[in-house]
Amino acid sequence: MLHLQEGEHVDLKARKHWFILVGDSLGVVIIYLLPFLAWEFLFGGALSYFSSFGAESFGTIAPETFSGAATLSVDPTLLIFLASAWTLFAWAWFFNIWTDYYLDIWIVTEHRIINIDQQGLFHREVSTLRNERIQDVTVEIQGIVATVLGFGNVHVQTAGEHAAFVIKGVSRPEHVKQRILSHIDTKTTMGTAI
Amino acid sequence: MDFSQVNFPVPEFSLNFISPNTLWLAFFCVVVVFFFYSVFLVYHWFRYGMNILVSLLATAIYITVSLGLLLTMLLSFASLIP
Repeated sequence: MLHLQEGEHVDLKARKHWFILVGDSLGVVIIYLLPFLAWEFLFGGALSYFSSFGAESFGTIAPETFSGAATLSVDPTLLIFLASAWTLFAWAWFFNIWTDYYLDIWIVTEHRIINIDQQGLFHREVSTLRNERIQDVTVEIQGIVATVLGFGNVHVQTAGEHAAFVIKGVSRPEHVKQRILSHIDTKTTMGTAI
Repeated sequence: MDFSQVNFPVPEFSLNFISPNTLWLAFFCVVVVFFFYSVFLVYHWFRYGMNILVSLLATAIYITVSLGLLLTMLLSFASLIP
């Protein structure tokens, strides 16, 4: 839940590009597949094993039914149980990553930039930067993928601060920069007019 | 040399050493941990999410698939009990 000041309106909500989510999820996919690949490598044919789960199920499948290097004596039902549990674990893990992605957001209003950084389920940071303190906004797009897909980092340099306010992996960084600068320009013009 | 005549040692593995009680405990733990974890996840989506529709869709997908997996676990578990 976001509490805005009186008369304050959200101009832009920016979040990480979907490619960042894909990159973060890749580890889950690889780790999820590892046991299945190991199974395939060791016993040669996980699919043929599960397809044998049928009329004579609940029993032990004879070792000679496997074509792999090793033999196995295991109840197929147990394997289905373990595979389901492993899939459930990976599924929950993926949604943890997605939650980070979904709840990480930058909000640009006419008065400030709000950076909401979700780090896991129980760590959430909300930082605010008022437009008056912004000195410079720069965009950094690194690499072919970022260039083609259109995402990058937005560095917001503040007065009297060593570290810049960095918005990482945001979609359409140029647009974000333009919106921030337009609010600063508006404030500057109003200040000059007064 | 005729390699077809070579007898390599063939390892044997078994997972049947896991007792039904252990499996029951594992299943119970998975369900309990998963339940609380899911409650925290869904709470975060609705408490901090900026788009209620996205939160609803995510909840629907998450719960549907999870229930399917839990049902598969339950059925396979039930058939494992002697």
